[in-house]
Amino acid sequence: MTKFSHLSRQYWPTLLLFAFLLASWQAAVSFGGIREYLLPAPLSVWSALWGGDTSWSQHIWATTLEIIGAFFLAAGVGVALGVAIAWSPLLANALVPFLVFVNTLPKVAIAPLFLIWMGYGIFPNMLMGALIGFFPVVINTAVGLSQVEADMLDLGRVFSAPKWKIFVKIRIPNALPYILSALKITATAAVVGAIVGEFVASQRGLGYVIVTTQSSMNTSVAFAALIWISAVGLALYGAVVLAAHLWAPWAEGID
Amino acid sequence: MTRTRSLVPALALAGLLATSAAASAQEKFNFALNWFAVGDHAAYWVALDKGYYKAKGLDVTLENSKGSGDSIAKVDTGRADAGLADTAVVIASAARGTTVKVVGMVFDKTPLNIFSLKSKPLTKPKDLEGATLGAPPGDSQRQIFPAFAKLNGIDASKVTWVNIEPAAKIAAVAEKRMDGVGDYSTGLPLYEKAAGKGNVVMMQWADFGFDMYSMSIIASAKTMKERPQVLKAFLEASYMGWRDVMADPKAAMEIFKKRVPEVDVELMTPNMLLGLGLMKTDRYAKNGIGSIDDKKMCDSVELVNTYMGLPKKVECKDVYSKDFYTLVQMPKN
Repeated sequence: MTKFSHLSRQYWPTLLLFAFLLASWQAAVSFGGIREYLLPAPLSVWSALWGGDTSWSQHIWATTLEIIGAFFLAAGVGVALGVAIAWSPLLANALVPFLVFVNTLPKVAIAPLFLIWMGYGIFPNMLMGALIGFFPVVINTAVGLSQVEADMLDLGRVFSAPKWKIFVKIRIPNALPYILSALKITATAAVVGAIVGEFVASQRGLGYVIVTTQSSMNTSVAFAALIWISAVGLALYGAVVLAAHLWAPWAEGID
Repeated sequence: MTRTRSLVPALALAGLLATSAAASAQEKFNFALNWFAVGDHAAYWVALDKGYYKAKGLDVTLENSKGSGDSIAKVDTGRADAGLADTAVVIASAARGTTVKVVGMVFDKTPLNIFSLKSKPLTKPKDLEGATLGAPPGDSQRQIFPAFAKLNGIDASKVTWVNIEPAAKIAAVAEKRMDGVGDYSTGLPLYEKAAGKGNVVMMQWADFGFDMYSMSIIASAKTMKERPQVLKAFLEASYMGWRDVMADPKAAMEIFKKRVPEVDVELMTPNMLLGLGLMKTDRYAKNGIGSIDDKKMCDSVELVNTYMGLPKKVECKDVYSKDFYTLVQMPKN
């Protein structure tokens, strides 16, 4: 069986469902008398995607930059905090309740404060995305670093390995699949955070497009922006899956 | 078997009685306000509190919305029977398939305005070139700006507009994150609260030759067609509410506060009085509160057609109707 026929065998039910939904949607708008501004037809969304009045490239670029920045910021800070928590019980006791508190704050409510503290633009939106996405990384990193098989730790003890060496040689590789798993969530969270930031204050970006076109009832462009956002989000998610495949292939199938 | 047989006529009789009882009960009427409680909403609460709606057989519910776009959508889809919305947004929405019409007017003079701080004042149109202005989505100032720019010889490309969440717009200008914000002139007390009294500068578009209809009362095609008498009654009772607000603003504010406890009386009183200033015009004094002037209406439609980049041209007669108007005289004070 070739790879292609294997793939098509796996995906044809989804494609069929997708095609059916699209056709029903178009029929509902064309023949059901649904107003364009409430539910635009797939065809008008399609034409909005590839042109119209919106200069997509600058908006897509702005939002993509925010999402990627948010992702790496969340990953970096998240792993660092996770390491701190796993390394020292004192730090764990100090940090964990505080981080839980920060995580439960609704970020939509904080976003206007960000505007006042930092103004608007790419960086505050990156920060917003990082704020939403860092927590899963912290938790998963800490868990992955602590939940090592007893045998492995015994092995380290047998060789009289110092604490840091056990950390680097045993704990971190063990944690890698956990971290990569969390990063999949972070990928989604980075998108949400960047868009929330743009909703609150922005001059460009896909969230900016949604909010300005929605209010002038130009719903087909708003839908098109949503599609671009999903495309960027999916691309990032796919990149994380690829990274997991390359760096921790032994853990495929954990999640 | 006999039990069910004797139930059927009993049920039929009950059904008949119920419908006839409903017919003599009050007509339900949903009115979508355009925003959270602001000064120019007081009139409807006054009309409700004083029983003007009830006297005309109306059971009115007032509900908040998230801006003109939201209230227009509510009315157009039948979730509300009538609503408040900015005329420019109503005209633009007509180009996108809505069938609502302006049936009454609130402000006779335009409240369109740009707020800035004394530290970097924007006092005349030319000041806007090179400035950064914040505008919430759907904001009228933002949408109709090209018309204002053309009228006053501003290079619109030199003005930077930034999208900003409505909740954050006052803080944004008070904290100097933006040079100015587009917002109705009636909002002055709220900006002064954030930035300090005497610190807020206004650029009222009415002072620079701009005359266009703004806040208005809209109704759906369905309400206009199926319940014209109800709509007429609602408008008349609402204008009576306005009359009372004009005659005794203090009492009106007390009713407003009673009905909407979250109203900040200290802020809303000047806000309401500023709004009244936009209504105490010669035109309203002569033709009654809420009267619509044909020429001004069609000029407003032309402005929107020319400057708002709509997908299709809107015909003036399609967006408003004077059929439901009843004259309520402005109080003489």
